[in-house]
Amino acid sequence: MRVIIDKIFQIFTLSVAIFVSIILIFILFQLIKDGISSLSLNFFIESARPVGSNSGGFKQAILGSLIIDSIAMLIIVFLSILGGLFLYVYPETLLSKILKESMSLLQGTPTIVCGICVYYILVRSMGHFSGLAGSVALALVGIPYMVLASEQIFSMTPTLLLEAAYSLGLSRTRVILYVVLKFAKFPLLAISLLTLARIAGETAPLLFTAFGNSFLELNPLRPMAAIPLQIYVYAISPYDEWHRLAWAGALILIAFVTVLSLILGRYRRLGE
Amino acid sequence: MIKMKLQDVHAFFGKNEVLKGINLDIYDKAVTAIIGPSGCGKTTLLRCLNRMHELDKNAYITGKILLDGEDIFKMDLYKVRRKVGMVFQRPNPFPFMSIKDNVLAGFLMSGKRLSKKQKEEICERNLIRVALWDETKDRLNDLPTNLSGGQQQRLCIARALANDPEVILMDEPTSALDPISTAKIEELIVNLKSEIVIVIVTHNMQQAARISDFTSFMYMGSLVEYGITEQIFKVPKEKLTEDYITGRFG
Repeated sequence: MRVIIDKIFQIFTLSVAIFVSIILIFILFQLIKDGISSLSLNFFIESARPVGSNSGGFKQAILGSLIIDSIAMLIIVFLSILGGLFLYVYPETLLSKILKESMSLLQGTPTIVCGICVYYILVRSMGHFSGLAGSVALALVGIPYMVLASEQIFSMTPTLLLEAAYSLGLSRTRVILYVVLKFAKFPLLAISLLTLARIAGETAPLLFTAFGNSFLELNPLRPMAAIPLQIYVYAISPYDEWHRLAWAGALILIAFVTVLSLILGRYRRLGE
Repeated sequence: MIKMKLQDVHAFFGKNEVLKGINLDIYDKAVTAIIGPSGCGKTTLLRCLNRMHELDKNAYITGKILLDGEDIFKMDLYKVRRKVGMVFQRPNPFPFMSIKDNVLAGFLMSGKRLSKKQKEEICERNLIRVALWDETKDRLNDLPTNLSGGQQQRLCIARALANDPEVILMDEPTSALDPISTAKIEELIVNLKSEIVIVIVTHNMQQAARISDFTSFMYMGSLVEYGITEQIFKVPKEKLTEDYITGRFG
């Protein structure tokens, strides 16, 4: 009987795994089939063009995403390491408990809410949409995830190493600087890449903040295009030509996330 | 000459009293061993001597511990730990620093600036002191994870010595090592005692007998007997000590 139950369970888990893989393969296949046909050099070096011009690309969106995501990551990494350190150093304080609870809450908040908040706080006070507002909205999405992960990483510092440092007569600040942060270097890098992979595909927080732009705009204080936004705009349009570009954009996004995962795998090995 | 003096030292973890009024003199240029069964408070006593006990947030110490006549609880905490270094049960070199930087860790991490020549001198001198120079001189920039357990432990002793302490506390430094590495570390301890005070916690009574000048026997948080090693092992005054060293319990 035990063997039969074991077999049934094996077959069940295997079939679920195959089912999920088929869906994933189907999505990837569709993405590659429809995306690759629209990929050309023009896709990377041309900005958006009006319908009917039979050309146009994602240049403004790729550069926009690069700028918006870079600024967002700077904010995320800086604030999250500080937040994570605070949670690690003062775990029992009321402020820590509030911070941890709010991070968990924010982690589960729909990302569009982050966009709306930034719209009310930043976009309205600035008087216009901007890439910077998009970065702040993306940072709101990434920070909770990375703060909680950083705290976990810092708590993984072996007591043996902490004690070794304290026994040399070092202050807590120096132990954090030279042991905790150094030990956490690779895991923090890995988590940063994961966070980047997560925010890179976010559309909702950018809708009311970066807004999108059909023209090349490199000033983050102006409305900017971004890959997910451009895909969204093209995908909901009624034109086949734009649909093809949207597929190509989605392919680029997936390729970017895949490259990040590969780098992550390499760093994980280095970390070990 | 007395280097450290403990007067009515009690140590607590929250409400739990782990050390119950320890009085002990630790002599200069000598090896003092602390023996006793598991859970008797040996390690806690050792960690009181450089206030590492207080790292646990519920832990505290009462009583007096004097270092050269000065109360360590009135001294700067970091200065106490620099003067009273420590080597742990398991080798714990910093895995992200080279062998050389591990020896210099006390300087590098406290932000002291050293010239290249000074760094090389300190590194070489201390690796020679722990008999690790010949084995590592050609790979000083390698990570310590490439060394054997015994070599790593000697590197940790070199790291503690480089900080120029007056006393070194060793918490069962050979318990995780093979017999050959253990023998090397024991030889090292005997060689070092002419220049530094060593207090060692050990589970291994033969080790205490081999390398220490003074031995203290602890039981249930109290110091049962303390004296010259030979006397403790040959003619113990207390019945409990005799029972422990003859293996009737432990």
